[in-house]
This record gives sequence, C-alpha cells and structure tokens, in this order.
Amino acid sequence: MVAALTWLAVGLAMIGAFCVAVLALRRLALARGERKRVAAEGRLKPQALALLDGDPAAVGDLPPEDMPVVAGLLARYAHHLSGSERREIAIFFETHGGVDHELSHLRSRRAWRRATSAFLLGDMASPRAVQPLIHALDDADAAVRAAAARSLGRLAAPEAVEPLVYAHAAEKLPRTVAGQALLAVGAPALPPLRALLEAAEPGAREFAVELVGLLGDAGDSPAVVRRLADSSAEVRAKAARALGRLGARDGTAALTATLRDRIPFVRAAAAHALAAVGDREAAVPLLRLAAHDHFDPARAAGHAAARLDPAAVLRAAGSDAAGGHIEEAADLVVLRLP
Amino acid sequence: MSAAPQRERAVVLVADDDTDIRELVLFRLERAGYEVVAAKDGEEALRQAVELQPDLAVLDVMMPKLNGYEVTQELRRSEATSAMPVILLTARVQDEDITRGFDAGADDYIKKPFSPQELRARVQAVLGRR
Repeated sequence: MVAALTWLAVGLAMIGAFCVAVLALRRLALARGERKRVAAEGRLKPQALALLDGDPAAVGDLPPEDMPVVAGLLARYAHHLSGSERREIAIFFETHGGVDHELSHLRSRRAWRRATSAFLLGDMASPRAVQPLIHALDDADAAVRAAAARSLGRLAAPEAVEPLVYAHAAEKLPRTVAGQALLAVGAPALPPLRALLEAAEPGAREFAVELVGLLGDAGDSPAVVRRLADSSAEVRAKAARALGRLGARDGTAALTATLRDRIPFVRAAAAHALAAVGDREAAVPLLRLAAHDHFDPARAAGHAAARLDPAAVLRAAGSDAAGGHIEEAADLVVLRLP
Repeated sequence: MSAAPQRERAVVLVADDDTDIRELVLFRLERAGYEVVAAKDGEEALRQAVELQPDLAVLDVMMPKLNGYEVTQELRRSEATSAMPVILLTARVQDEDITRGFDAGADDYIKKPFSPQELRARVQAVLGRR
C-alpha cells in the first residue's frame, strides 16, 4: 500500500513537472514571437504609414511573411481614421485578399471565428462587407451579432440602418450596441430613420424617434411631433425627449398638450422636454402639473418650471396649495441665485 | 504676448496618450514639412510647450495628468504661450464638449476618427492666419 502510494506520488510529481515545463516553454515561445512581432512592426511602420499617405507602392514589394504584420498595423490605425486614409486601407485589404479571407470566415462553424471576422471587416473598410455583415445580424451567437453591428457602424453604411433598428427591436442587439453603430453611421442614417418613424413595429418606431432626436435637427420636428400621438406610450415618451433635444419651438404646443397624456412617464418626458426647449410660456401648465400630478411627472414639471420661469415658481411656492414639488422647485431657484 | 521664435520650419507639438495616433499625426505633419514634437500626456505637453514654444499645438482632450482643456487654459494664462494656436483632437463631440474646448481657448476642433489629411489642412489654415 505504502509503495503504491509512493509510486503514485512520484507519477503525479512527474506529470506536474512535465506540465510546468510545457507551460514554461510555451511562455518562452510566445515571448519570442511577440518580440519578433514588435520588431517587425517597428521595421514596417514607415511603409504602412506611407500607404495611408497615398503611396501603395510602399508595400508593393514586401515579402509574404511581412504582410500579416502590415495588415495588423493598418487594422489598428483604421480604428482612428476617416477619409481618404480609410479608402487606402480598403484598397490594400481588397488587393491582398484580406477582405475575401475574412468574408469566408464569416461562414465558419466556430462562433469566435465568425465574431473575429465580423470585427476585422469593419476595420478593413471595404464596402463589399456590408451585405454579409447585415446577414450576420441574424447570427445565432450574440458576440457575432454585436461585432457585425459595430463594423456596420464603422463602415457608415446607410443600408444597414433598417436592419440594425429591427435587430434591436427583435432583441437580437442590446440598445447600446445598436445605438452606437447607428450613431457611428451619422447623418447618412437620417433618411432611413425618418422612414422608420412610420414603421408598423412599435419597437422600431421608438428606437428610430430616439435616434432622430440625437442625429436630426429642428427640421425633423414635424415628423417627431406626429409621434406624440403614437399608439405606443414608449414611442410618445421617446418622441417627447427627442423634441427636447431638437429644441424646436414649434414643438412646444404639442409638448404642452402631452402634459395631459394618460401615462405618467410620458407626461414626465414632456416636462423634461419643455425645459430643454426653453419656452417660458410652458411654465404655467407645468406648475399646474407640479401641483397635482403623480410623483415623477410632478417633480419633472416642477424642475422644468424652475428653469423656465423662476419668478413664477417662487410666487407659486408662496401659496398654501403649492405642494412639495413646487416647494422643491422654489428651493432649486434659490440655490441657483447668484 | 510674446511671439514664437523665428524658425526655418514651423514646429508643431502633438500630444496624445495613444501611440498610434501620435505616429499617424507625426508622420503626416512631418511629410507636410513641419517639425513635430510629441508628448504622451498633458504635463509633458505643457512642459514642451513652455520650453520649445512651438508654432501650434495639437492636443488630445482625454489625456492623463492634465487633459487637453486644462493644457489649453494653462497655455492661455502664460504670457509666453498665450498666443499659441491650439487644435483639439478628440472623440468627445457633444455640443457641450465643443463649447468647452472653445471656451478654454482652442482655435479649432477635430473629431475622432479623423483624417490626417484634414488635420494637415487645418494646421496649415491656422498657421496661415497667424
């Protein structure tokens, strides 16, 4: 028995030593590979930068083993770049097969490989990747869908706007991921977003109206005002917030009417928006709301009135029927006094 | 206000904590004929600006030690550097961020991701106005 245990202990110790040796050798090999990569990057950076400067001949005669290093550098630089330099990056990756390589891996059986390809295609800046990435928004794996969304934003593809909005509405993409991608598309996203304000799906209308508020301008107010009459309370609330961001005074009447919405959070959103728009005439209806409504809309209305007409708030706070929200608003006014 | 010393080539100070961005900007501006000095944080940028008195500073906003707004304000406070043009280069692009940059004393503002060609053109435009 003792002998068997001794042999077992020796065997385990030898296995342990073998594992430690393998790990140590692997660590040394990785460190050596990393040093070679860093040295190669240092050597090849001037050529990569020259390519970005419109000199493709700078990388024309590179040996094949240097190409992955240059590709890595360009993909890293692409994070930071827009304009003609990104076009040079796209040409490089198209010419040297990088785009085809990653497009083929979008069909890999391994989710991590599909996600990696989806991510890299955004930095390769090739418009050919847009449609395959749109299909990847339906991938079974969440990481692949998120990477595809991020890359579609980097490619600033207006044709991806509707798929991104519907992917979020179908809960395939978190709001922040889809939102950041759409914000990255920027102004070209506005025409499809405006069309989505009339979508049949309430989730799509809600997301679209929020983004129009972030990307649009005062000229979008009429279309957003129409959403204040939407059948969905979430859409009405987001439309109110959007009008606050757009800041157009022609939305004030509609927002004031929305203070009578039957849903409290919609009324609260309208109050916030009126404060942002800055029309002093809204102070009277806001004070009425602050005196009589549920907690959230009343508080929002009180704060909004304090911003729009401090003197009116101080007068209202002096009456017996003022209530806690108007008194709080009056305290805010006093705190802001110079 | 003191003027920058006379030089053969204009000197541009580039400050960004991201190595890739420093390399991109440095390469583009050197190719355009400028002499470029780099800093990797706000304190180093301020020190270089005072010692070398560059003709223009390109500053990232989100830097360690001192951010781009703070460096700009310090440059404006010092008589030696108060006239130095400043271009802010940053991903912070909300209206209040842009307003804060101009209130701090910046002359121009470029959003990230950026085009080095556009940056070069703005550097030329700002230096041309001086």
